[in-house]
Amino acid sequence: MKKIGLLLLTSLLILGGACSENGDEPTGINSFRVTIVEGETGSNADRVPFPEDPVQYVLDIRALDFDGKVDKSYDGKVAISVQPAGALGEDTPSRVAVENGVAERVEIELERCHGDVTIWVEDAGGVDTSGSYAVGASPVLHFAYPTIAQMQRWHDFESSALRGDFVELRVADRNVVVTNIRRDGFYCQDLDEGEGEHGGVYVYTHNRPDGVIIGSKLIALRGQVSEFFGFTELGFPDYVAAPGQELALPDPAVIDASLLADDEAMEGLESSLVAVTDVLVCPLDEQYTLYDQWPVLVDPNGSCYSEEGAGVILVAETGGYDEIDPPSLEGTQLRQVTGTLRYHYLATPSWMIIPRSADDVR
Amino acid sequence: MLTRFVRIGRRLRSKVFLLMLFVLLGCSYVGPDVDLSNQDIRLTILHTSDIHSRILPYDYSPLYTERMLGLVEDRTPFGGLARIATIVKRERKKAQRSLWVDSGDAFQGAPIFNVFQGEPEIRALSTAGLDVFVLGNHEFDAGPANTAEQLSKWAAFPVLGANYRWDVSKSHTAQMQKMVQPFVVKNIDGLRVGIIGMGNTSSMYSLGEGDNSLGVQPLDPLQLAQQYADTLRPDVDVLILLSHLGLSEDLMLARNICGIDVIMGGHHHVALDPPTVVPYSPVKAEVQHLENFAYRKDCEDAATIVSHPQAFAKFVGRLDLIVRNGEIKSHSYELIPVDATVPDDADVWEVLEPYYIELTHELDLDRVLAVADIDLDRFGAAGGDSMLGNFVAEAMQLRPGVETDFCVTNSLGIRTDIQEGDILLEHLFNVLPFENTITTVYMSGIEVQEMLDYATQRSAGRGCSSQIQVAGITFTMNCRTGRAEDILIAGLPLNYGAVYEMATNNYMAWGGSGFEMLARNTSKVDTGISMRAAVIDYLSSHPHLPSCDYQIDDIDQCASGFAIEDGRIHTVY
Repeated sequence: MKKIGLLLLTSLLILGGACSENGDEPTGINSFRVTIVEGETGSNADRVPFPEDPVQYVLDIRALDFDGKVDKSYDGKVAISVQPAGALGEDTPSRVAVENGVAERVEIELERCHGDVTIWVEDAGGVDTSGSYAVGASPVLHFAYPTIAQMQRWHDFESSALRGDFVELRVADRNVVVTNIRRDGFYCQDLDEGEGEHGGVYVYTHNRPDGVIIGSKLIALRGQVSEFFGFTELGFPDYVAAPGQELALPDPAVIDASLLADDEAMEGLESSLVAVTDVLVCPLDEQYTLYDQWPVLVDPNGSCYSEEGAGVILVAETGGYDEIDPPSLEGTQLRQVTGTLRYHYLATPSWMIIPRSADDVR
Repeated sequence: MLTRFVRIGRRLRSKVFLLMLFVLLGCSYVGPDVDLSNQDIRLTILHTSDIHSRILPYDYSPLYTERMLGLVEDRTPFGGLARIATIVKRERKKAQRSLWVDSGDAFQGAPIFNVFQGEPEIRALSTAGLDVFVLGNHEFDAGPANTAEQLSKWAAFPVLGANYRWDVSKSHTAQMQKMVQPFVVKNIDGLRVGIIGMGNTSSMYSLGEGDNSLGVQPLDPLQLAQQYADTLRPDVDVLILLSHLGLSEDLMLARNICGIDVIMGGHHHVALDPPTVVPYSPVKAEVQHLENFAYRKDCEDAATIVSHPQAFAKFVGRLDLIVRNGEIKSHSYELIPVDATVPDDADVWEVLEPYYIELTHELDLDRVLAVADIDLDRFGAAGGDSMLGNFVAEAMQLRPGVETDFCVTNSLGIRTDIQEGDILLEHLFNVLPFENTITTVYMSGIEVQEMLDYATQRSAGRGCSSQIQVAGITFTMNCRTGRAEDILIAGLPLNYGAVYEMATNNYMAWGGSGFEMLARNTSKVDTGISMRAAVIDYLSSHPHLPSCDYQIDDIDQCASGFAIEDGRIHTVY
């Protein structure tokens, strides 16, 4: 009992210092009330479709004092943003005037919003004035989770629409299958997307992934969208595979010389299962020594020595397969190389196939 | 381990509950009389972690992934606590209510720690205005008594560590018990913020001298965090878990705990930008050891934000929350680079300057030891041996007075790459910050196999990236089977019946990183030779690295000492 008493006394002493007090009476604005006058908010059960094109909302904004009343003395330009994911439409001003504490029927456009987001209003000050940094958030807007293709597809085909976002992907009601497992992640592909329609993504797990095999059907997938040397990855992921449920793998998309020459079309196949046929193994260079990547000539009319690797694709990450000895294959013809498609903008050429096993190189 | 956690948890329950209740009563009367109900309130949380003694700016060439996070190559030098203080002050001005928290491992990683044992780190953090700190494993690197001394003397902020049970029979741990709190509750202009602290448990091997002489017993963070959350939650608006457990543990807690809004973590040196949002979704295998675990319907739609701000004072994380009626409505995040564009805070620099002057007098840190003609990496491109690892292992094996059959040293003991250009003494402190010594040990062939099998299994769980670096020995690390194969020592196949002498470091020799087969070995001799000194000496005979052009020359023609990857560890995955 003595010990408990001592413990309590100690905790009281400790916490005397831990709690702080700021006795000044606060003044000025404390927050904003942001209401949505027009525009769909959706709900958990019925989400607003993922906006690939801008969607319009109309807001009312009110500056509130510390008593929660409209502060009519407030005039200023407030910053508008959407958090934690999404963007304002190109034509939406990032600052809006609030007069006498009120701004009504403020029209904004939102795009690339996914999951639960809110529209933020912030008194961030101006170039010459400091703000109070009071904020207000709109009611939650419930947007649909994007599919893999919606995440990948973007007018700048070398990037992805949701680059830099933490994203929950829509997989539970789709057929998303694990197609290739590597030592630091896995590839998966949405079978409900057409060939070349951006249905694949690499999930970077840092270590060999647990809980999935080739053929696993994913029922949950979320993570951070990043571009690793031009290759879209889902980093720091969280994923769940349906127990005991496997899907048949798709037929690989065949890459020929004309497809290989079309970067935009190739981008649509990134991380999908692909194959090249009747290819010549080119002479190995330092990319093999340093990075375990070896070139094969896809274009029957091309050359292993063409500028920028035109007509050539790399085969990579075969070092773990004892059955494959690339130096002994130099100058030989391979009937087919199958694997998942990867990109690295510093490699020459930049596209490469990652076989799933030694059987994928025939 | 889990059953031990449960037993301790049961014993603690009543005391913890009483303590927390009392603490809350103690807090409830203070704070301003501000009614924040039904309003959107902003809380800005500034976050640093794993500063690792980079309290003075240092030259560094950012990695690709760091450049993507906002580090700009020509804005070196990076880091420095006087700059962090400037950022914190600036960001606080752009916030309504703010808090600066640090997730631990302020110690170890730059020469200033080797000389002053953490005093300038804690003094500067205090002057800079840190609000809360959680203990990291490296806080104990100069011994637990030093931790107690530095924190008790210089810390002007609460130090947290709810999941450590101190052995009060030792004077330093009794001091730590008095000083280290499980949590604090801050009243920030009417917003009540609870912060629970969880120190590291996964790297407990590194505490003390490798035999856990620290005198601390780790408690189950899951059970404790839920108990604290249940008790604190009704009385706070925001509940934060400040953690040095590591990312995987943080994610595990986020999935399984009901009631914590945000986990601000560290230990793994990763940046979560933006933060990860983890829905409450308990996993049976992770909670089954808990007594009376029940799914919490009230958390069905809840989620926890998990944030990590990377390491080595390169970034300050800024997380803004909008809180209404005790619920997080929304959040935004920014990672702010600590680079040459940020001026020093005068108050913090005034604290640091005398240490800097003494440091430069004591150690000739700018002394050029050799030249790196290209970057020398600490991790191998294919996951096996690395340029820097091979060089360090050779320096240990071939050091006069050591001269063993082979050497094995842990990869994570080599803390950073060497970049192209002059190799300065300062760089060697950054590469090998620990005061480890070379230890020799006699092993049978069977024991060598057991050790390399263990290293293979440990590496397999880390992307088949080798957790050891070697010299005088080659093998195939088969991450598929968890076996070390084709082991050759001095070019000859491993003989189970033979006896070999191995050089390693004293951390591994006493069981660090799980090498318990070495801890059991009674033939260990600590040579007292510093690993860092051995590498510095070895550099004196290798003025240019790599001294063989591995892209042109036949690798077989290169003798030792060339800092190249030469397939000593061949990985199969």
